[in-house]
Amino acid sequence: MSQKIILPSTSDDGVYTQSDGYEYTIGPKQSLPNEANAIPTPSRIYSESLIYRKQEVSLSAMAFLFQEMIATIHRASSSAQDFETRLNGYGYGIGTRLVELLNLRNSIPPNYSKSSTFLSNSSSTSVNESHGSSGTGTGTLSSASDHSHHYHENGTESLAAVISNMKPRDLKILDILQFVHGTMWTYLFGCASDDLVKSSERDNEYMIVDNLPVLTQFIPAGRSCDYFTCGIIQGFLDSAEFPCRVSAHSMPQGELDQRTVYLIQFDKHVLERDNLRFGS
Amino acid sequence: MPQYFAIIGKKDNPIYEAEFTSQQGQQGQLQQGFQQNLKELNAFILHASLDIVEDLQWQVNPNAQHGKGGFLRSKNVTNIDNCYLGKVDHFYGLAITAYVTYGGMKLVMIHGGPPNGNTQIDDNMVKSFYQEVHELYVKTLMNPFYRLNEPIPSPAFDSRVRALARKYLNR
Amino acid sequence: MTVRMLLVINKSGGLIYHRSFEADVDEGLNSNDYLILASILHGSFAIATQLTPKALQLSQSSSRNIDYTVPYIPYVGMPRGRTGNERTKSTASTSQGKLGSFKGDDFFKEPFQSWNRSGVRQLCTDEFTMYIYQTMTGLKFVVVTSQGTLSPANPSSSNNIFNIHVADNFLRKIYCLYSDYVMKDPFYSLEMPIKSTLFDKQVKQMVDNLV
Repeated sequence: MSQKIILPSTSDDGVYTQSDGYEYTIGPKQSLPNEANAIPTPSRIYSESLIYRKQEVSLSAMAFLFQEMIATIHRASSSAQDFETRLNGYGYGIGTRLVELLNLRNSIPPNYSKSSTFLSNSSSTSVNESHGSSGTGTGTLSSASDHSHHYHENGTESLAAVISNMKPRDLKILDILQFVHGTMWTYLFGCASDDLVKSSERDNEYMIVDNLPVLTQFIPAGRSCDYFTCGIIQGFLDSAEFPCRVSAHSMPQGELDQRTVYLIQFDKHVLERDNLRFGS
Repeated sequence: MPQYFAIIGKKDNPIYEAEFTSQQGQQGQLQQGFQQNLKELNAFILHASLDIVEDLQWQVNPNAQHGKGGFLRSKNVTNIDNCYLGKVDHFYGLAITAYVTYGGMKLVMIHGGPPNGNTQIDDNMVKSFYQEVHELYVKTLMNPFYRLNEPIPSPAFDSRVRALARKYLNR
Repeated sequence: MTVRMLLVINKSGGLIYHRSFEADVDEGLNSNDYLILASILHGSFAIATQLTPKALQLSQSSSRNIDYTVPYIPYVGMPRGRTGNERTKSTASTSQGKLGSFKGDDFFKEPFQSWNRSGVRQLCTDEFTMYIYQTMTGLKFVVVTSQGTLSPANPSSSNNIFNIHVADNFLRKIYCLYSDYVMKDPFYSLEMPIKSTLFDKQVKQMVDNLV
């Protein structure tokens, strides 16, 4: 055996025991003759479904966590520039993950939902109860029995099996920005952002406007804590192959004195590609 | 029919590779793999097709267009799905299919065929396989300890991908 | 009830926030005077326990049964013309509709316990009335109102009790604002003077609503 390389990017316990996963120093492994009979490696990450469950996080808890994060970064950074870069980096990783997750979730047919299959599995009395108690949401309940259940061999539910067509990838600048402005914002902050504007001066500049940033609403102006959200946007767009730079600007307007504008500056070649592929 | 499957990261680096060899019948029979001397070429063949993938991934409807590189394409798929690109390339009887995730990861596979003759691809099965692997990849991404573009060493991932390959690719 | 001044005193007697809402009150007092005022208040608050009449102290057992619950009075210091007992200014619908991390249209909607058990809750003079709200952690919110002269004939009228309750409700809301706009500010260090402009703005808004 070759020298074991320590890869920090895994939390699966298997790696500490005899690993038989992919190792890039060795290359592809062949199928083993008896692998069909082997017991699948247990893993929580791969057993959990990616389906969206309605969950709300306490804003206070989130604000305290964010506050501590800002304070830590602030202590560690030497300049305002450094502070913004670090904060940006924290959000970047979230953005890169959201691209895949949100698009995959958007591919799921709308009439498929975890809760409906769950209720149809449970005893019929509970379904009747919910039918009787309120008229809301019963539409999905009635159709729930139609769904067949898709499971991998090891009993985990697979979403991909219920998807007939994946949501098309966003190829145009405007499409991907709409996705950020609508879907991503809703996922993160519970509502779409307040505005999406194209700069009249420069072709590669777009602006997303948020009248009351949820995360930084308790932080007095003066320091740019919104760079966290910038990082999320940038990670999202970079990962979807729309490389850009994002910066936050505080632009109070009338009553809305915490109004923040996220300025997105796409790289030149993104525009060129857009023109080449979709230009008139 | 053997397959060589790889997930290619942002910097054209493989983050996962696997070779699937079919097991027809019981243990007595031979495994059908790639020829030993050609096996080393798989990675090259696969990377050679990446240029075509990168062109196709920016076409609005890669499956419907018969213009650029159209003669290589399989024509069975007719939908608006632009994640699955279908057959993108071939190399001496080997067919290459590709799939691009939302984050720009390229899932590419070389389908080996019978020694003489063209490889037939069941687009629907291959597409289902890609979608399932895509979901597994997203789950990997949800692991806070996994960083984008790093190899996936998880044996759990490996065993699940192989299970999917048995389910969808070996008929 | 017109609010003339609002003070926040930390648990060690330091003044961490003061704001007066009348221009003429400020005259003659500089910031140093305010600091002294706050510590005097803090000190007298602490010894106020000892000023309790002997008779009350003797009957300790009975004092333990005192109900410290403050009833909830709806929409004190909230915008829009509410049907609250407090006369609130019906501002135009400029309400942002959001109360920071608090849900619903009011910060809280239930009676609460007063933690101010041993000290002064109200101080009446001819000129002004002062109300003190103490939190569990020893933070004190002090408000000075222009409503003076409790009629000496009837000092413990039900109206006065009501005023105390209104003031407690009001100060608890200031405390809610404090927990949002001060405690969640990453650049604030505990026990230090509050400089947050957002807190300032929110307090001003709430005081304006009270008029």
